Amino acid sequence: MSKNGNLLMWENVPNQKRLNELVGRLFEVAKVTAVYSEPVQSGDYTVITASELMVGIGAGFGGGGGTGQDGEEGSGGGGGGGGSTMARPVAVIAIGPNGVQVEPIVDPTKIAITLFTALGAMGVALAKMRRMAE
Amino acid sequence: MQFFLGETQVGEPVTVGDRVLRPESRRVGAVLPVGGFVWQFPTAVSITHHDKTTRLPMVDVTRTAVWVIWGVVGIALMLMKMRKQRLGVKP
Repeated sequence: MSKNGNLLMWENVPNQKRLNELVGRLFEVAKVTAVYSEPVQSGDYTVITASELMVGIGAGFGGGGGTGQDGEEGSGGGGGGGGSTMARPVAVIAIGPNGVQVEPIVDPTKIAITLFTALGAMGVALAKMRRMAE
Repeated sequence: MQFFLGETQVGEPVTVGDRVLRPESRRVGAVLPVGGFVWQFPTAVSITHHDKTTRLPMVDVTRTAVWVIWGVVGIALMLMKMRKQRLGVKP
């Protein structure tokens, strides 16, 4: 690799370290308070919702260099990143005169989408197996 | 810096009437050179009432159903592939 290419790679190293620090702070985001809500009073009942939380982040850096036929050196680099957050209610804790009850929250839309996706994937895999057998 | 994480967390107690609730959750995550993720989900709630503590687990019905569906489809595909290999390729 050319000298400029090596320099570009080394200059990216501090960014990699900062990325690692940023990703390490992900664990600080996900706490119990992010999953359980504050109690909400409604008549004789107090309700607390419980949700699941998923946070992800990714990034990449790259660089390169080379020498042309005329002996000219060139180099380049780039980077990109992205993140995503997903939260979904899982259950409701209801505290009332009869005691404490945990009521699960069912998402029929998610289940239906999963079912149709799985059936579609199964159909594609079966078609491929049939073609390979022929 | 931790690279892989899997731990159970207990939240601050919440007092409702004469009951004290302690929420529990599980945190799973990974930190890699190119990124990372963390997944936190509720697992149970402990209720203390008149010096008696009860632990109520929280079942994620939706996630269970999704995993069952993918599991059944995966097993069905594996069985079909094994059956085809046992029967052999058509002449």
